[in-house]
Amino acid sequence: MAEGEDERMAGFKNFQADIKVLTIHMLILIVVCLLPFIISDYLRMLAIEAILFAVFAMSLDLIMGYAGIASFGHAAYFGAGGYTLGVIIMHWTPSVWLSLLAVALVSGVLAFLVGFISIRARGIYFAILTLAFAEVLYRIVFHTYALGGSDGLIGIPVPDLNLLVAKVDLKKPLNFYYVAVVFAYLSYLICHRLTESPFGRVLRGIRENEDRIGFIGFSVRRYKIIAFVVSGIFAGWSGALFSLFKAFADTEQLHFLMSGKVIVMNLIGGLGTLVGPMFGGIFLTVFETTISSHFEAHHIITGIIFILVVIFLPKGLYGLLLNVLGGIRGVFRSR
Amino acid sequence: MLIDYTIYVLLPQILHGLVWGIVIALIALGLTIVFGLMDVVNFAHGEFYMLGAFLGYSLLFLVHNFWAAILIAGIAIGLAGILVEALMFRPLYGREPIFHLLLTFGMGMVLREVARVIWGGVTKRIEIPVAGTVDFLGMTYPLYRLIILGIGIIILVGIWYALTRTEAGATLRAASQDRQMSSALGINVAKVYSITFAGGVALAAIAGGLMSPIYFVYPTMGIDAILRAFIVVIVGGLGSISGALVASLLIGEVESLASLWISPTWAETLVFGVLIVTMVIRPSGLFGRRGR
Repeated sequence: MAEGEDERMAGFKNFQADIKVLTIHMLILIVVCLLPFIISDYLRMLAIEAILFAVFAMSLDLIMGYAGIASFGHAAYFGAGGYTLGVIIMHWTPSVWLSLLAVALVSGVLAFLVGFISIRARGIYFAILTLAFAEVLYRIVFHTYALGGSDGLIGIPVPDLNLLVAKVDLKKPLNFYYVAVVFAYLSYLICHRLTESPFGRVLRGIRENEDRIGFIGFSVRRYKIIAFVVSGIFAGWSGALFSLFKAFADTEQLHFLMSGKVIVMNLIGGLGTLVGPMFGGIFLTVFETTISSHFEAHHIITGIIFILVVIFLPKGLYGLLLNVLGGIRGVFRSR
Repeated sequence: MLIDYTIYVLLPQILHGLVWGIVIALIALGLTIVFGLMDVVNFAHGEFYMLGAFLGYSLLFLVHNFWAAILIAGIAIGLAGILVEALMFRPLYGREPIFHLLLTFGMGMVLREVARVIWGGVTKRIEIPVAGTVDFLGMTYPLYRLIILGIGIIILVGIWYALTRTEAGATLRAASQDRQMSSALGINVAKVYSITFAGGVALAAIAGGLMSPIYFVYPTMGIDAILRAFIVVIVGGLGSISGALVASLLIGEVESLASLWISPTWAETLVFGVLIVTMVIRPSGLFGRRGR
C-alpha cells in the first residue's frame, strides 16, 4: 500500500519535472521561432550560422564532455560533411535528404577509421593523433584539384527541401533558419536521450575511471568508438548544412583552427552539459562576427577569452550560471 | 650514371634532411623535456619559434650582426617564457594535461595575431649571413646550412652533457621523475620548472632565427613547425629525449628524400603517415616507456 503510494508520488514528481522541462523547451523554442521577425536580415544570417555551430559544438561535447576523450581534429568531420554534400548535390542528385544520408555515411566511416586507430591511445596521444588525421585530410583536400583545391568547392546549387507535403525553398534565409532550428532541436533531443540512456552512463563512467569500467566488463573501446562515430555524424551534418547555407565548402572548415574553435566553444559553454556547448557555439560565433567588424585582429580577443576561461572557469559560463542560480536559490531557501 | 645521381641528387638531399632534422630536434627537444618534467604539452611552442625568427629579423636592424641578433632574440624569448610559466601555467598544475594544451592553444592564437599586428602579414626574408659554398665528395653545398648543422649538433651535445653530467641536469631529472620527493629533498621545483620552460622556448626561438635565412618568416610559420615537432615527439615517445632526436632525423630524412619523387606538399603529408603508422604499431612511440 505504502509502496504503491511512493511509486505514485515518484511518478508524479517525474511528471512534474517533465512538465517543467517541457515548458522551458517550449518557451525557448517560441523565442527562437519569433526571433527572425525582430532582427535584421544580416543578423538572421548570423543566427543561422550560430545555430549550426551550436550543433557542431554539441557533437564534440558527446565525446569530450561525456566520454572524456578530447578530439583535436573535429573539423575533419565538419569539413567532410560540407564537401560530401557539395559533391553529391553538384554531381549526383539535388535531393537534400539523400545528400545528408551520404554525409552521415562518409563522416561516420571517417570517424570510425580515425577512432578505430586512435582510440587505444589515451589523453594527449589521442588528441594529437586526431589532430594528425584531420591535418592529413586537410592537406589532401587542399591539394586535390577536383575538390577545388585551396579555393574550396564553390557554387553548390541550393535545392529545395522536399517535405512530401511541401517543398521548402532553402534559398530564402527565413526558411533555412527554421530548418536549422528544427535540425538543432532534433539533434539536441537525440543527443540528450543518448547521454541519459544506459549507453550515456557507461560513457560517463569511462570519463571518470576508464579502467574500472573495463573491469566491470564493458568494452571501453567499443563504447568509445560508437560515441566517436555518433559525434562525427552530427559534426558532419552540421558541416553539411553549413556548406549548403554558404553554398560553398571551404578548406577552412577542415583547418585545425576550426578544430580549436569548436573546443573553445565547448569550454566557454561548459563541457558535459550539451546545452552549454550549444550556448558556447552561439556565443562565440556571434561574438567573433561582431567583434571582427570593429577590430581586425579579433583573434587576440578570442584567444584571451579562451585563456581566461581555461584558467578561471574550467566549467565554462554555463557552469558559472548554474553556480550563480544555485547560489541565488540557496539564499532564498535560507530565508 | 648511378654515381652521378647519388652525388648530385641524393647526397645533397640527404644533407638537407639532416639539417632540417637537426632544426626540428631543437624545437622538439624543448617540447619533450617540458612535457617530461611538467606534464605540459605546449601548443604555443611553435609560436616561440616564430617569434624568435621575427625578433631576430627586427634586431638585425639594430645590431647589424646576424649571430648577435638571433642570440639576443633567443634570450629575450627565454625571459618571456619565465613570465608565461609563472603567470599562466602555474594556476593549472595538478589539473589534467589537456588543460595546458587548451591554454597554450589560446596563447598561440594570441601570439600569431600579435605578430601579424606588429610585423604585418607579408612574409619577410633575411639575407643569408654566410654566403658561399663548400665542395666536398664531388658536390657543392651551401656553407650556411653546414653551419646550422654544426651549431645544432653543438647545442644538442651541450644539452646532452648538461642533462647527464652536471648537477643541474641531475636536479632536472630528479624533479621530472618524482616531483614531491625532489621537493622534500630540498630541490626548488618551481625554479626548475621555470628555468626549464625558459630554456625550451629559447631553443625554439634560436631554431627559428637559424632557419629564417632559409625559409620565409611569417606569422603562421609556427604552425608548420609545431605540427612536425609534435609528430617527432609522439613518434619518439612523449618525454623521451633520445626518441625525439632519432625521430627528428627520421622525419627530416623522410620529408627530404620523399620530395625527390613526389611534390613537397605530398611529402609533408607523408610525414603524418609516418606518425599514424608508428601509432598503430607502437602506441607509446619508438622510445616511449608507457602506453599513455
